[in-house]
Amino acid sequence: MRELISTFKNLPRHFKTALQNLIRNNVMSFSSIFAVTITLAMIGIVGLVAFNVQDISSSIEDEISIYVKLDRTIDDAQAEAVGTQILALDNIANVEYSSKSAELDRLIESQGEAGAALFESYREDNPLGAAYTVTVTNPDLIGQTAQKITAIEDVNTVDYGGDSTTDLIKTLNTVRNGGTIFVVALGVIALFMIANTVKITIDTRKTEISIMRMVGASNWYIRIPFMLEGMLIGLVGAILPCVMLFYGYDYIYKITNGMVVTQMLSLVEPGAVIVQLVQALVGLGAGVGIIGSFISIRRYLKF
Amino acid sequence: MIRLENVSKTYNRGIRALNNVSLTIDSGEFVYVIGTTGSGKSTFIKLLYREIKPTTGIVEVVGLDVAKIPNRKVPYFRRNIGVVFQDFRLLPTKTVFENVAYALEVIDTPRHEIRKQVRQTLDLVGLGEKINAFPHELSGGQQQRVAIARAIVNNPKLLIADEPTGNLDPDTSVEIIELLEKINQSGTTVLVVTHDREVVQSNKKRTIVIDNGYIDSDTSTGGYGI
Repeated sequence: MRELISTFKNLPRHFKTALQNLIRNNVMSFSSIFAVTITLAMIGIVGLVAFNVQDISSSIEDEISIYVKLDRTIDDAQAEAVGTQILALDNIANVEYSSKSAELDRLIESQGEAGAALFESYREDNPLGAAYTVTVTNPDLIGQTAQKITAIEDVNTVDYGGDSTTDLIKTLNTVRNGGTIFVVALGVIALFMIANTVKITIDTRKTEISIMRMVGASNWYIRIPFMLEGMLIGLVGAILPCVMLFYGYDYIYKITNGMVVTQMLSLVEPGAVIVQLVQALVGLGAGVGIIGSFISIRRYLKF
Repeated sequence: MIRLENVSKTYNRGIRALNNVSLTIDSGEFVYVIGTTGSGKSTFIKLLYREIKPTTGIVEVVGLDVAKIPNRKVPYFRRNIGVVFQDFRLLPTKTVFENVAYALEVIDTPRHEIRKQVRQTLDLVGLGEKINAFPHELSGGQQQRVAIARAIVNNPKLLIADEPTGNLDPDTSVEIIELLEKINQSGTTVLVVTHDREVVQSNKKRTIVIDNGYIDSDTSTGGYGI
């Protein structure tokens, strides 16, 4: 208890000591900060790429839908009944109705200039059936959902792209999972790297620690400045990666107009994402600095 | 001040550093402990400031059984003891003033009190002019004076000096010993571990000779082999 009170009372002094040590051990501090900078920059870049891959893959998935054609002989009431049955199924996100004539309009439009001449005459006796465009909540189960829809009465054909769509979804899942694993693995490696840097910094100062112990400094009194120093190394090390991500991504977003290749593969807007990422990097740098120091110094404080 | 009763210390590898040692050192005494390398004198002083615990026997320092002090209380126990080493062991990134002040900061001494006591102590050891210097800017003798100042600034009851003149030339050594005597005269018990015959012969004080883990001789007349 006495130690705890003393620790809080001396916090400004500890902070001053930490700052002083950081400046006076300039070479060691610089190399630690440099290592943290490199690591956090790596995490930042990979994190940003992963964010975008995630976003692009989910926007692709959002585009995937089931096209349900109804029998051309049924009336509006029957068509509506089919819609209700589809909605009642599991895994349905949205159902959009398109009437017979709307389907004809779409067909005409898809044929370009010649469309009107070719198909306008069918307006009186429309050979097309009404249709539903169904989007699903879980694209992984799109095949099963399509099968269930096929079984509904008055449904003529169901099209979701078949195996090629399933394959696409599988690929997207692999990319996404792979990306997540990669980011997590990189994060863990980064933590070890930062912790190791802090450990080396502390190892070079074990004589200093033994002196502190000799004059009767309590363990917390010794530990706190080292932890604060670790935090400062983490924070200073995070500055450059944060600035780089903030301005760098903004720049990339501007010159690409927010698109990769096509409109469909759009980049995540800067702003919120960058703020989140900057927060994560600052937190990671400071957190690992504090925890790394705490762990590294432990073995020098044993009796 | 110090009492050892049938103390033995055996290290993990089976090396016996001290064998059944018993002795008493009273408050205010000035005592030399001499012995060759590996005689057990380092073990002896490490027992006193609770760097190690005895295998058997009782070690009592400033009225406390050191083996019974719980680990977390060791820092508080050490505040009763000042220790000076052969290699000075100053904090390299702190100035002379900060090095000495550190011993007071850790015991929550108020800031104005720290300033006063550090200045007084640095004047006592003759380094009042060097308060803003860093250790690497000082000579060996000056660094040892800073180390002594740090060891005594909080008025410890016991001052242990482990080969304090080991890295110093003869003239500087004499000065350091004189300083330790001055500190002793103010009432602090001083224990000087050395193998410097000159030092011991020229200052007739109680001398304990440790050899091969045993107390070879303990005399109050001073000098080797008496």
